[in-house]
Amino acid sequence: MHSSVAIEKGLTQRSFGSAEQTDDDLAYVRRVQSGDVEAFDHLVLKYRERLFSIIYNLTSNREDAADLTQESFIKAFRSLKRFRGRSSFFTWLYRIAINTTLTNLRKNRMRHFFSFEKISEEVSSAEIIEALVTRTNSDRSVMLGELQEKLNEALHKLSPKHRAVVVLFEIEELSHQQISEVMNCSIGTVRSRLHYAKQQLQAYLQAYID
Amino acid sequence: MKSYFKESRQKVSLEDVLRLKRSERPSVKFWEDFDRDLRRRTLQALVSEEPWNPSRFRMLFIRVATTVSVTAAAVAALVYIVFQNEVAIKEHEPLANRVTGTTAVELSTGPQLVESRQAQNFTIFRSPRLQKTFVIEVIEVLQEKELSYQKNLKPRTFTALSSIPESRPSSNVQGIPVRDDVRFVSAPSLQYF
Repeated sequence: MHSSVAIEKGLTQRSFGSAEQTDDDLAYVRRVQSGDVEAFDHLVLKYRERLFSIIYNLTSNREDAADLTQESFIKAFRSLKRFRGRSSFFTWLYRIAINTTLTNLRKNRMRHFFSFEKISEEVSSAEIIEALVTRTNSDRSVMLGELQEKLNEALHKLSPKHRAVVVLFEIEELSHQQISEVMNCSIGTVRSRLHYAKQQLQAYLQAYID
Repeated sequence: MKSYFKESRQKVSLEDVLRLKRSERPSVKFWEDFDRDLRRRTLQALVSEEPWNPSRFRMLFIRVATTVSVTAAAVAALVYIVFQNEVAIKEHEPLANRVTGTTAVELSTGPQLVESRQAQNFTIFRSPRLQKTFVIEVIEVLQEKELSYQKNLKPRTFTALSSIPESRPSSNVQGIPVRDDVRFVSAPSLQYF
């Protein structure tokens, strides 16, 4: 089913939500609605990494994230025939993913098992990592391990809704408007949640930031 | 390269640290397993219809809950109005009706009662507090005590009470005989007002 990974690779970049991409998504949605099940694979390939990333950053558990990402896609697949295109497909899909995850977090609020993905040292992050190593004056891998744990702990001290706003804005680079649509709240609420969450994180992560 | 970074980048912001999370990415193997699992689950979803749809169930629940709450509110409002009305009626109810152990007896009398002989014992008037029913204030002169009570009446009826005092005098203090078919409660069970 997922035979066109290469074709879709270009679409997994972080910029999305343009009219062109929305039309593209809608075309695939219409195909699925008319019975072409394989068209759903294109949508999965396009959004699976981003959806996984959101859910992983909300749960800090790679196994849970994988399961919830699949669950979100299944829910989307089941509900796709009722999708009318009033919002863009990604807003609709993200909303499903966020709601599925928040429900799961509420159900298991007493259970926190961290299970991390390895931080890959890409060009974009190398500079920051270097600065952190210098700042903390510690071994690179030890520092990265500690930082990852502290960062996830700090995120988990926030309420799921505050965490979701931080993840969507700072990590996934969604705009305030897009977050308000995904989370079904006002832009003002998004801003105030973001402001509060960043204040909290700033306090928790003082040792690493200036 | 390391020294270059040391020189060029010394400050780290919260946003920088958060952006590091973008680098936490699963391996290719992870995606292979993911795709296989998702394919299996998608096919399962294709062949098995969901027993109930969560969003439809939620909509149904919201509709039922809304209907029930609106109905409950309407019933509560109705009960409140009826109760308030009852209280209002009770407030205007003849005191005689509130006397325990008495039963009301209707007699076919009416406004002409004022002109009858027995009417000398009674005063009939309309109460300004009630519009649709007559209120007759009965002033009974019994054992030298002036007792009075009120009774809501439909037009052309007159109600008195059937609890008959054993020692009911055959006439009042003014010597006017009391009609046999108009009976009054005994003095101790009446309420004064």
